Amino acid sequence: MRTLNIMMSVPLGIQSMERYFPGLREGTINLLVGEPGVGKTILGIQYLIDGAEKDEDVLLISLNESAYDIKRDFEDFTWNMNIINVIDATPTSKKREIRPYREVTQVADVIRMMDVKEKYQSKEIDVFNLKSTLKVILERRKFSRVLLDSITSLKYFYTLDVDPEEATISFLDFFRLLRDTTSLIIAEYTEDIGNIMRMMDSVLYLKREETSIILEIIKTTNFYSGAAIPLDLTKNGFVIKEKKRR
Amino acid sequence: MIMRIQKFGIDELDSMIGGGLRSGRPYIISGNSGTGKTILALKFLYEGLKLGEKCLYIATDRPPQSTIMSISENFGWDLQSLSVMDAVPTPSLYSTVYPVRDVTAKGQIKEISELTGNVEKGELTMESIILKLELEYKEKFYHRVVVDSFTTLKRFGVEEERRNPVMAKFFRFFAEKESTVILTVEGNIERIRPELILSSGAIHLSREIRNMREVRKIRVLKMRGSFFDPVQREFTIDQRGISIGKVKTE
Repeated sequence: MRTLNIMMSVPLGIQSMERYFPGLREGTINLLVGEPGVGKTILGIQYLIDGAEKDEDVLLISLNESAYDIKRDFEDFTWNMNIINVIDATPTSKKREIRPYREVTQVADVIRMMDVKEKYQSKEIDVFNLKSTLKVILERRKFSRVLLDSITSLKYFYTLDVDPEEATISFLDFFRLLRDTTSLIIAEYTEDIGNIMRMMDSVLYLKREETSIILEIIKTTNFYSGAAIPLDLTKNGFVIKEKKRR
Repeated sequence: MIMRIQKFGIDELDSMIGGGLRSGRPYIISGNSGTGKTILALKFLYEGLKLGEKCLYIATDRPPQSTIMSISENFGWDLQSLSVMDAVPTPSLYSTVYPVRDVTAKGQIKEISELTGNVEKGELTMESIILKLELEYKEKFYHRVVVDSFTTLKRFGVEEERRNPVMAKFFRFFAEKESTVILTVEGNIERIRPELILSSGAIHLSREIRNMREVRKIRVLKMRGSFFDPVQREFTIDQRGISIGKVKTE
């Protein structure tokens, strides 16, 4: 059983992490939660880069920052950002009125980070057209790893005229149905995840404790040892803080 | 446009945020009333003016001229070439009616040196400020903008359920214009979640009385694209401006 689980694990991309946590179970939906500023996007990108470096097709769906800004933000890292794909689903200020938008045509498309030149998209995006857009895209093309950053943004800023909780759950349900994709969903606040926690295979909590960053495994169906892993942030991303073994 | 670093001109703070703010992104300075948000935000504009950058101060709490006058007097900062917009809400906006008519708002942008006494007040909301600035940007680019306070602004002329999406649009506007904007936000960290998520970085200020002494604290909550220093520090505000202390090891 244990061997089987490890075989099906998709690593987070942190070196020697297997000692504590083998990774996400293939084909499942998982949550990474933590307060703003703790480094969730960095860990999420690290997860994607790990796949991309193994020639997997990986996708970032960004609701928090434009593809252009993300590219800039990661300039100081040693990663080759160009090998990941991105859907820039950040909102625009262009239209005068924000109104419910029920268009089912595609509002965004996958681009290689390498080709990100335009500063900002100009389509208005909400939970409905984003979901239908993702359906079209993800039915056509299989990504082995997907990162959604973040579900809190979706709930706060993309759910006009609908119940935010219900819209969020039905949105995530879609990811649960993607059998070939291991999804990592970012959420900003632990209070926000009560309703979606049960949908998740693993829940990882990234938190700051004084000057250290701790990755806590709140829930998992995978084999693991060590519920709280101390991390350091470097230009190669997160690494395990060397300490006495627990 | 190439990303530039824009400094506050306070060495300790600039190093806490990883060198300075990244140009063209939205930031917040949060904290309760009286913690020093306005002073810190104006320091950022003053630093820009010294470099010859175009700077805009959008005031929603108090008429801008009184704030600017007292700050430039207290700290000896020359803010003569600062552009200001008086966006202090008028009583009619306290009703919950929506913003369509605000499109006619009269918020004027002037240089502080042109201001004498009466300035026409604008009836401004997030959406009407976007429209107003859209026109303004056709003629002039601003390197640094401060909205003080965003908390007041977001309360007006927008229905509760539309507030968050409109806020997202407001933050995004400045990014699309490639202006660096600082929004001052009032309240404890728990109460400013949407702003915290929308911002590319956040600096939090607090103040307490300890042993009959006032203690001010500053902390970086978030700073995208930088290896920032999250350790809280004490700081003081006096005639010399803002001074940040060393970290105390307890």
